[in-house]
Amino acid sequence: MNEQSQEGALALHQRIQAGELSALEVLDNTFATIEKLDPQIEAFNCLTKDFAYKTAEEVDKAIKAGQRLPLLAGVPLALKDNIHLKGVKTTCSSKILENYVAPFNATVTNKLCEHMIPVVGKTNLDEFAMGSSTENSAFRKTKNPWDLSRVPGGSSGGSAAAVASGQTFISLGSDTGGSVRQPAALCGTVGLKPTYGLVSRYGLVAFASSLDQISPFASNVQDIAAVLQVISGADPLDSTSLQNVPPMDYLASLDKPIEGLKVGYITELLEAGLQPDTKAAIESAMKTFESLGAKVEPVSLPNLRYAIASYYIIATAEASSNLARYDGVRYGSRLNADKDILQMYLSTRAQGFGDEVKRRIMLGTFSLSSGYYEAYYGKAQKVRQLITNDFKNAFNQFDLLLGPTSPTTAFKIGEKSSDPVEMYLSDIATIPVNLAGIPAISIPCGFDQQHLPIGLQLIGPHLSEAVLLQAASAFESKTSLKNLHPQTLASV
Amino acid sequence: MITEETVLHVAKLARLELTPEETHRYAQELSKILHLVDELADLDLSSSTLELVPEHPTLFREDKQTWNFDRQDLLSNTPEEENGFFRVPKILDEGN
Repeated sequence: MNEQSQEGALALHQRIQAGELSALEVLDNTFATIEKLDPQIEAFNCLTKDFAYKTAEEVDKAIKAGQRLPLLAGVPLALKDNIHLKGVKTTCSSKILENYVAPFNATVTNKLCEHMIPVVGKTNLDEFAMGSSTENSAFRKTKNPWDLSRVPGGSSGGSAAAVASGQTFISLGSDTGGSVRQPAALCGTVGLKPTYGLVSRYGLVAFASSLDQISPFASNVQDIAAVLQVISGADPLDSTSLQNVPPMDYLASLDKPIEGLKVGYITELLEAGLQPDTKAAIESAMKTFESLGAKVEPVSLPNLRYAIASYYIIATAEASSNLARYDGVRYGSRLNADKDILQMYLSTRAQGFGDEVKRRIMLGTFSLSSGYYEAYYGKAQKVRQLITNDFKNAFNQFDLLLGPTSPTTAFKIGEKSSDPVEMYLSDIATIPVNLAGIPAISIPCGFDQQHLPIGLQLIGPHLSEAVLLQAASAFESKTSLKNLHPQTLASV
Repeated sequence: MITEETVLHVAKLARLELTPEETHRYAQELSKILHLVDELADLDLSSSTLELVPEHPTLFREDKQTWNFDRQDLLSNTPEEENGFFRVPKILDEGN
């Protein structure tokens, strides 16, 4: 493990600013750690050394010139391989994009460049971000750093594992139904899904456009706040980005006490299907919040039980439309073009997409098809509204809601991959948040008997990121559950 | 219940070529997933209205060019290019 990772991203950034460490040294150390650990973890699809060293040189030049560095300058970051970095492959861990080179930067990538944050590599994911274990990658199976026989969660499993194993300090993923919060929970890191529209999606390869949101990972809440500070903001290139959000300082409110905060625990999420150790950890977290002066009471969201059904109709419908562009014409692989164009489409897509992606395209196409549209897609949209209303009602009484991030800790590689329905059901706690477009954070709240990390989820109303981070920070200070990295990796 | 016939129809709409094994398997798997979704069927949604336009309205940018792509960058990803165009197989048969 990288020793620097014990102190976190902001602390490292401050040492670079103070001239105690050069950005070049930090990067050398990071790549040495990656070379040591990643053959086992397999978090990365590719490394971007040239780009990273160029950025680090800029940082060191700025320091020599006596300049004040932008936030997080010099701190190595890993980018999920569905976010564009110009001149580098964006594969989405799919064969169909195996050789696709991003012709432009995502807006978040431009922000990283402005902040002189070295991107050290692109991380593995479930193909097109569809999955909860990263096993659906066409290229490799990322391992959970706490137990190499287990999954890191997904779909942003590579970004989560990179941070958990101390290979990078921070990373970006995308969260459509829990794809950042669930791997954060399973890997013992912090993951924040911002309010829909707070972070530009321009340059993120679309899966389900009404649900997708670029989201950060870090080892502690302060670092997450710092990354959010860097990546958030209105963007004319994303028409769904929120235009009139007042500028926020997410780092400023972290130390404020949370006395009197009203926290509702979602009863539906503490019932059936929860692993006993997870349940105990969540209940213990409730007591911790009480000891911090918060008022913790039960709240019911009766329509939550329909969330998975609604989500898997809406998400797959949007995916079937978004993935229609992979047809072998403008980019990606192309097969059987010597016959006619229909055969080219059919062969290109049959060979280029993996099993889960095809399954979801099929489901989405079905629910949008003539004769089924109203019964499935139309209904799912109405249920989405009911769930959104449930949250609105709950936030009339409570500042924040609390529950598990995942019903279980990390499962074994292969354990759920044969049954798509069982895999879908593991998303019950995270999916409702995307349907409602609200923010939520997953933070470590303990370990199970096998020493696998457990995640606590805090959910807030629209644009409540500052309060969410404040509550998460208070919890983290009280429990000292931060900068968690498996010690077994240190001896590798 | 999704039949193999429905699977083949949907696959055609989605431009996916399926093997007989996949056709058989997707019929079973999609039936199982739709069974999960069928719980929505019991819901009375007659009073539920859609207000999916959220509190924050979508703002449209002005209709003017504000940034540029390099043509060659964009074409560099295409499987087949000719004189700056995407080249595709013939769409119409001769004589049709």
